[in-house]
Amino acid sequence: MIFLNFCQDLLFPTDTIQHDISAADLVKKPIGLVCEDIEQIQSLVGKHRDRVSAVALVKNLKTPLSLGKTFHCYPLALFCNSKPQKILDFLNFQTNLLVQASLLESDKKLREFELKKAKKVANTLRQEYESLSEIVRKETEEKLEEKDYLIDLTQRLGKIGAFEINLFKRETVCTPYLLEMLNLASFDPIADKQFEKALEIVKKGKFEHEFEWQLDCSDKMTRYFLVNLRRDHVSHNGELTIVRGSIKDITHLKTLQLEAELQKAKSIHSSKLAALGEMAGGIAHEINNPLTIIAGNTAMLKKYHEMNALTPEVLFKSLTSIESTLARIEKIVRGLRTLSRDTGEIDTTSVKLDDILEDVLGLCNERFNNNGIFFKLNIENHDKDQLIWCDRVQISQVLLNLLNNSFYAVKNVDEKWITLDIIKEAKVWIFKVTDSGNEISPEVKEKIFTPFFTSKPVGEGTGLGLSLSRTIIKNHKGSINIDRNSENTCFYFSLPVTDQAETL
Amino acid sequence: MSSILIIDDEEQICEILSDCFSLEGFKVTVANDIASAKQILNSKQFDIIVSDVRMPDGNGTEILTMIREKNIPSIVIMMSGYSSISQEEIYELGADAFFAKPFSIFDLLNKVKELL
Repeated sequence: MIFLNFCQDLLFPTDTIQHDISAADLVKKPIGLVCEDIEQIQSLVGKHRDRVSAVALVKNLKTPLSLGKTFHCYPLALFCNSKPQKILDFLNFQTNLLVQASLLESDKKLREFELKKAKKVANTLRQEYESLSEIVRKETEEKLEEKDYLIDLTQRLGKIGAFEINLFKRETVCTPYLLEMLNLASFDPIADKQFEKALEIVKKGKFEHEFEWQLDCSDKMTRYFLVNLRRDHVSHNGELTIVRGSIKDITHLKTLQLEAELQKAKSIHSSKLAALGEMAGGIAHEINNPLTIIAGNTAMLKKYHEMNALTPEVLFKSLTSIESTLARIEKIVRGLRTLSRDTGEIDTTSVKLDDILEDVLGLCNERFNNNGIFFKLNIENHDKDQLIWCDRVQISQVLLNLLNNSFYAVKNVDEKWITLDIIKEAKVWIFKVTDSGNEISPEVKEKIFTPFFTSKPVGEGTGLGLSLSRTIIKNHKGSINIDRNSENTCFYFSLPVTDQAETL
Repeated sequence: MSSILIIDDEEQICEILSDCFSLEGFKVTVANDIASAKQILNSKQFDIIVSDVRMPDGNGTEILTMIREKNIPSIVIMMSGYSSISQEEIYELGADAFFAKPFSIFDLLNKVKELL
């Protein structure tokens, strides 16, 4: 449209409709007409539709203009949708046209004058073209700058940088933001050991590879990045030459993840301690009773000795009593020791079923007895050396937790009993704890595995027992739930029967 | 000769206390649960009753309360291994002494002699 304005000065005013223009007039007033697309011209010209035919006419005019011939023509210049080079070509063509026309003039002066004028026109048009080119160049630059800005902004917001490695030249180029993000003066992934390993994977043929990159920064902080590598170009002999990739800063995410893991480990341990605390009173009694027996026996032995009445029979009887009582204490202490061990990590080994039962029942049995709770253990096809592939401490904790819950449930009811059923099916071990406690309401059942939910009085339950038990069992690829079909309250958990346990 | 009733579900504790008091010339009777203790007490009176607190079929304080309600002039000594049991409560119910397990049987013996 810039051309249009220009041509208005140069040519006839566009509003003037001139019919039957002579070839001489045409020469005097050069016409610049471009029509790449007749329909587009039509839409632009609108009401001057009749001019369009002239436009087309001139455009299609291949033969030189001869004087004396009349043309139906309008001085409308429209440069639409044309590439600068094409405009220039046309202008050259038009100039030549005018030159040729003027040559035909008998008047040489006029010819020269027209030639000069034509050249001037050509020059003006060329200059116009150049200034247009400048504008286009500037506009293009501005657009590129804007695009660069947007790309940089996207990288900043997404904390992501991109790079390209030329394995052949051993060179890497990267986006400016990547260096800024990594806080590095230069980025050389080829020299980095973690990258080396990942590049090997991509070299071997994997199209895309992702890995977590740990970078120890100058401020003694470790930062974490997610690196994505992609095969990009392979040389004619099949060797990978270009690898492209992106690096995303995931330090924040990673920190949150690590904190969550730490919290989880802490809460597992504290809940275990709380579970032990819940039992502490009971355990004290279990140890205090045997201690009374031992203390009594030794006191009596001394007394008999002082009285010179220590017969071998009395001595044997007392020692046997002390021995069996010590075994009772040992069982309790062993169970306590096993269960209080900090187990952040799952440590699976093949464990004897009887060892788990000893850990747990050593702690529970006396308490059940002292509180008049009838406890029954049913094991289908009990084999003393039966092995289970699991984390001994964690599974003991889960079992203790279920028995502990049952203890609380039956403590204050008239009919007190707890049953532990252990069933080995083809693929799973099932541990079932059933008790005579009051029925659990549907609302409680709904939330029973939720962390920090407890139905025990304030201060007695942590509300973490069942939720942690669920985590432990899930980690063992088993399941834990309430048996809704059972007449009494029944919790069960299952553990997969694994080949390791069978073969070991 | 003073008579003593020992009540505890731990048979071995009963046995030791029985040996100790017999040696000192007491006439000892033993009960391993609340029910049998009550049965014995229905037909007999004792100078001293030594009872555990928590037992499978009930609480030793039931015996203490029963003795005090019936105004039977027995010395009642309670013992327990539970730290959660309130000594004050036991004394309020009328116990003459309380022993926390584990204790020295001779301390118990001396206390009994002192109370007699």
